[in-house]
Amino acid sequence: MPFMKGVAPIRRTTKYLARCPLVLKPRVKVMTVNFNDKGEEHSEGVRDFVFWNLPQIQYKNPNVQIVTFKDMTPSPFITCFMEDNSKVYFDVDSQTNKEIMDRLVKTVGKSKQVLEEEAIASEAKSNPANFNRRLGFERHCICEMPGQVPCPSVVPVPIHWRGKWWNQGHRYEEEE
Amino acid sequence: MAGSLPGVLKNSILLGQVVPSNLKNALKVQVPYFTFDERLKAYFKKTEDFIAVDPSKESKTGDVVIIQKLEKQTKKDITHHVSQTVFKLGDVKDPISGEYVVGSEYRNRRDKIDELYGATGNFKYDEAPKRGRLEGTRDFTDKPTYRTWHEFEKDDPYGIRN
Repeated sequence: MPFMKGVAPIRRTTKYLARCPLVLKPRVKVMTVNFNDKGEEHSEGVRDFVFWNLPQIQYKNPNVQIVTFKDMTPSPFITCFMEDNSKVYFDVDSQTNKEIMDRLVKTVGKSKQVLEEEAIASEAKSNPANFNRRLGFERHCICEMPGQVPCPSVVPVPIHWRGKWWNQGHRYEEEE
Repeated sequence: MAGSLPGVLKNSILLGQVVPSNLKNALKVQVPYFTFDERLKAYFKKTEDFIAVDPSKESKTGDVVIIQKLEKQTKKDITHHVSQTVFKLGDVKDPISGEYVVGSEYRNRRDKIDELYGATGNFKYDEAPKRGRLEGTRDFTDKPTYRTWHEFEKDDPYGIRN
């Protein structure tokens, strides 16, 4: 881990950030965490959640606005605001950060199955080995790669390589 | 300007705090968001100001509100409208219990303790009038303040001369 200064710099590694189970459902637009600082035991889990897990959540959900509020209310809670102006409250008093994360994944997170399907779909899209310029890939055909057979529209392929020659029976003829 | 806005700010709803402004029929709302630094792999907080209309005229400076993007903009600068107030400054309501709260204490518990001690002269939240009564005379949080250097005959209360 290069450039690893500060408290718990592992939080600043891509591997750690990408290992977040919580990908919020698309209708969640704003997430608010209200918690209390230093000393209050019931807020300890939420404090850990903010320290360890919030950067992960923001990494996986770059278009969700995440806001924290400190010392506004006696008990900690998390609010999720949806695009239809409704909200969901999570009372997280005396819960550990793992419990909070699991609960959020269960209620407002995409399920593992959906995430797996999305991963497969995105792989097919971004695989640079695919052809077809019209669909956004870099190459239109293997004929444009150096060292491969050139495009038959430019340079005719040797006749004995053609399926036409093979299937018309010329391979049985005596060579001159 | 719209092209350089990060994706979060293009959302249909945003959460922000009302900030003092000189606007007459609109509010300035400051929206905090996080940007990712690719090299340091860390998030840094930035804020963006939006001008929103408040149809109910209830929001004051310091309130935390949810602003929603307007479908049709009548004025060029007014882009959002206030759809709900999350917290009112001074009258914070804990949504889980529904009780009014002062910092990390419940108001009714505080009042009970004050009563047991026989306190007099404490601020009574229930009897106090709504916020906004003294705006312009004693409360100068609605408009932005500035430093002034010259002594005028009639000083602008929003100009500070310390």
